[in-house]
Amino acid sequence: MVKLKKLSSLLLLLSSVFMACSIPLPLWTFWVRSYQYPEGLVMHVYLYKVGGRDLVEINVLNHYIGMKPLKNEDFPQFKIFPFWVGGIAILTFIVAFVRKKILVLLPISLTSLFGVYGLYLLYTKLYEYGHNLSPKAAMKIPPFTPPILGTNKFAQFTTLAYFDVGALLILISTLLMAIVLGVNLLVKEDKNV
Amino acid sequence: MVSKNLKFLWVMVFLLSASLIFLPACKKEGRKGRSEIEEAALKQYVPPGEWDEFYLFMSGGHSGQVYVYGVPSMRHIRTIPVFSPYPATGYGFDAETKKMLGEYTWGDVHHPALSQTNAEYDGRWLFVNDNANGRIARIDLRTFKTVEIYGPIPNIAGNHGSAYITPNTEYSLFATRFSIPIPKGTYAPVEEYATKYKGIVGAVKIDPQTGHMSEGWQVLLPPFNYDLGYGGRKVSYGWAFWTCYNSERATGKLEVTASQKEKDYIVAVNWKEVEKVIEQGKYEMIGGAKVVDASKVPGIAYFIPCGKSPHGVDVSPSGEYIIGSGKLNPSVTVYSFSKFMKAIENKDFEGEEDGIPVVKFESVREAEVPVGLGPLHTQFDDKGFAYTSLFVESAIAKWRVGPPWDVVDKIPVAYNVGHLTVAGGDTGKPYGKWLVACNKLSKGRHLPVGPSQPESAQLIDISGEKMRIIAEAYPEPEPHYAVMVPRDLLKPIEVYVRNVDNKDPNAIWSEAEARQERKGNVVEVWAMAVRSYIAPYKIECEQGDKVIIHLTNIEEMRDEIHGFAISFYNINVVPDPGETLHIEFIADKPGVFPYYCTNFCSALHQEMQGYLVVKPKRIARLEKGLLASLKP
Repeated sequence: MVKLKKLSSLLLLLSSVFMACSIPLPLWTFWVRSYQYPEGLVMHVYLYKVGGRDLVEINVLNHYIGMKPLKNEDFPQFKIFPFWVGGIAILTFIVAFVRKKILVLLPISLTSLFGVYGLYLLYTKLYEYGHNLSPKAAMKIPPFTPPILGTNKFAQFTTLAYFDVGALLILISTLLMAIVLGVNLLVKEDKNV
Repeated sequence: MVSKNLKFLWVMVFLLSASLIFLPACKKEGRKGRSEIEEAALKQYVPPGEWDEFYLFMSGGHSGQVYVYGVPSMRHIRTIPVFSPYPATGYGFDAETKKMLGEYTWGDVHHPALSQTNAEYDGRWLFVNDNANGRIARIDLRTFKTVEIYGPIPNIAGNHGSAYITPNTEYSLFATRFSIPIPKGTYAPVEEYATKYKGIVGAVKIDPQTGHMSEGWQVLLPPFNYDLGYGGRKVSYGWAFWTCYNSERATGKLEVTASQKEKDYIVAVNWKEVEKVIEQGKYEMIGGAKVVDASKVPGIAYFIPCGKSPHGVDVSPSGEYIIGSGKLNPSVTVYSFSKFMKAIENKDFEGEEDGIPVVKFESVREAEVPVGLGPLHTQFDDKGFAYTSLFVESAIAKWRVGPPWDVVDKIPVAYNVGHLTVAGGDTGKPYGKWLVACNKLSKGRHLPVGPSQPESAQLIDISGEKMRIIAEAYPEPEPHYAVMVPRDLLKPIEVYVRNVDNKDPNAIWSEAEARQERKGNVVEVWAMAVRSYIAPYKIECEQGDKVIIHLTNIEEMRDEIHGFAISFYNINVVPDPGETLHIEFIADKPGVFPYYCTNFCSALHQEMQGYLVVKPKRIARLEKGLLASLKP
């Protein structure tokens, strides 16, 4: 069996730590800015909840356009995601010790799958919230999808959405795995394995 | 003709050339005046949206309120209702504040006192007295709301020498300004004033952790008028001082009858000793309070002679000097606390009042400072100077605390200053910088507003050698004393955080929980308000029911305040974000009564309404009978 180098092992350990650290941190952040909110309004999406300082206020504002309130109960995935990402972290940790090159594929595929599904979920949910507007709303506006990334303007509000620390950690963690896999695939097997 | 015209021409030429010489001079003079104004304006200017450097808490006198101003802008920021209902914030309309106010709908707020630790402001509470009904109230500076009213305190009438605080907020002082026969309710004709009427000074105990007020101690004294108080600090820690007038024990036209003697007194009470003798049981229960009779228990009270009808008694930051101000004197008298201690030790007395020793004036006096006519109150700065208000002279005198005890500056104020305040000027650590003169008369310095006029409060820069008036505000009647505190010392909240600041078991946090339940004749409602609705949308009850509404403002955004008023039922409560209030009333009027949000909150604020439906007794009874007859 092909074993990983010490350095690769260390990189995998680091990757595992990064992955684990992302669990309590925000993945995606959404800012609303307008003149009468001098400090802006902010909400975050975590692996396990929607939260943030002004989630309540954002829900209060959204109810005027008939948007459903953002509630944890509407995201059954929150019950799975921490275990999914936690599982990847543990798996990576084990692979770092087992040091089998081929096994690196396992966390990589799991994390990629998570990334794709996470993005898909975020997009569909944003679409859903922006399109299932109550016809009885006090203010009727055409359906919309808030952008996942970047700024948007609505009335006097400017919104800003971006991937936050948690997502960055997952990305770095995945990149580390990819580097380990890539380097080990490229390097000839006879050289100090 | 020609010569006449020529003469005229020459005069014109002369005038023109003269004006050419003098005009630039005038201009220069004008420019100087303008730069002075500019300098003063800049000192006071606080740009829109920026914060003042100091909070100024002004007593509201017989308005029963406290006013919050910003210094140096002198902008009125807030009114804190204390002893009077205030529909603007719903104070006195919900069950708790209604109960706190009790049977009174006004009070006479005179002397705010900030809580202290080690003789310095700690920014936790503000205590104020009610001169009219003998009470003391506590304002929590986390919320700027009155949270407790203690009293009416037994045996006292006219709590003026209050709410002065001891250096670690152990006690808030009180005193009877108008001696009465005690306990309250006792009858004795005014003619028997000198023998049957009694003077009382004392203190309310304060819990150092919670600020909760409870019974402290009382000391029985001769029937004088006890005026202003002060808690000794540092070297004089453990002592409390009050001035008194009418040591003549006179009645009738006091203006004359109580001004006969050359000297009245400052009474010094050793409260550490009072605590001891109460523990030893040397007290009587009068009117439900523990009262120590100073004429029977030696060592707890002494009289210090003080010039004509003294008013203010103020203790220097070090605690060593006690400044007595005789209202009709041209000077203040400075007493030395260590000399006072020595006089007691040597029994250096010049007489007694009902067995209470009067210490010899000469042996306790340190200095006489010729401040000017009508001294009332003294404050201190951080550079060793004192500032005394002169009512009669309408001025403030600045003088040196310590030899040569000289007056270094004086400034006229408009008009007739009563109290004055320096930031931290009543603590062991004055901040200095600003002084506010609380003037009793404004005499039309403001836009005319009819015969009922506001007072005037003048901001004086005391950072330099010379005092300078910078700005002026016109507070509603009537600030007496005021206290100034750096803004950093206070940390008020903006929202009642759910389950942290608001642990009310009757709070609800969603529309789904809004409901009403009936228990006998009581209809209990759990209601909530948020932009832009009040749930439930209707409250149904029968005439004569008791209605209890638990109303929660579920907002988490600061300043999203909602009001809840019921028309024709005289109800208007105003819960702040995250706050739960309770409304209780008897639905004695049948009909339909709208309730709505009174505090403008949102674009659809007007839509924020519902109906209280009160079924007439007759119909309710009929329906009940019908229901009963339908039952098998």
